[in-house]
Amino acid sequence: MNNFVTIRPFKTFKKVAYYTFWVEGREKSEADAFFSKFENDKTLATDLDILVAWLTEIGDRRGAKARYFRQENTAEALPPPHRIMAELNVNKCDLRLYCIRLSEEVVILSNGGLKTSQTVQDSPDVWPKFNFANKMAHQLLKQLQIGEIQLDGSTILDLNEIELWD
Amino acid sequence: MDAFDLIATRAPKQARQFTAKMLDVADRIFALMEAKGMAPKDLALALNENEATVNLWLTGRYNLELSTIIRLEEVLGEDILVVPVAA
Repeated sequence: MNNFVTIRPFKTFKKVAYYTFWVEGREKSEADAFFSKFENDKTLATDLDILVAWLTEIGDRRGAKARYFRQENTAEALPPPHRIMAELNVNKCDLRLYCIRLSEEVVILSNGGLKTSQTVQDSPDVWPKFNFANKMAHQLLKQLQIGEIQLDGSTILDLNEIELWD
Repeated sequence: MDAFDLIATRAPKQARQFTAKMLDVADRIFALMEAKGMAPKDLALALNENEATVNLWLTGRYNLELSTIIRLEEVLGEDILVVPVAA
C-alpha cells in the first residue's frame, strides 16, 4: 500500500460535501476510479444510476444522516437500495462503494467494487478496497478525535498530505 | 465532465424519484418516532418485528409495502403517506 494519501473535494452539494482520496502515484482519485470503472458496464447501469441519485438526493436535500449508511466495520458502504433493485427488475445488487462519514456535512468517498461472495473477504474485487477504506476510516476518525483533522461545516480544514499509519 | 457527472446526467427520472420517495417515507417514520420518543426497539416490539428490520426501514433503502406502511401509521398514530383525492 502506498504511504501518502491526500483528501480532495469530489462533489459539493447544498447539504453535503463529498471528498475523496488521492493515493500517491495513482492516476485517478479513488471515487473517480470507482465511477469510471463501472460507468460503461451495462449490467450495472441501474445500480450506478441509483447510487448516484442517492448521493445527490442526500447531498442536496437531507444531509448525511448516520442511519442512511450501512456500517461495514469502521467505514460505511453505500449499496443501492436492495429492494429497489427488484422493482427495477434487477434481482440483487452487489455493488459496494465504501465511504467514511465524518459528519452530516462531510463524507469521504473511497473506492468499491462488486461483492461476489457471501463474505467480503472472499470477494477479490472489494476486499482490498474494503481494507483501504477501513484503514483510512480508523486513522481519520482517530485524527479527528485528537484534533489533527478539523471540520468547519462542510469543509475539512488544512487538507495536507496524510501519511498512512502502520 | 467526469464519470459521476455523466452517470448523473443519464440517470432516468424514475431512479431519482424512487430514491427521493423512499427517503421521504423513512424520514417521515423517523420524525414520528422521535415525536413519540420511540426508539427502533420500541417500534419493533409494537409491530412484532425485529429491531434490525426497523433500522433497515429507517435507512430509506427499503421499498416498504403499503400494508407495512398502514401498520406503521396505526402504531405511530399519524399518516405517513397522503394521497390527494379528486373532488
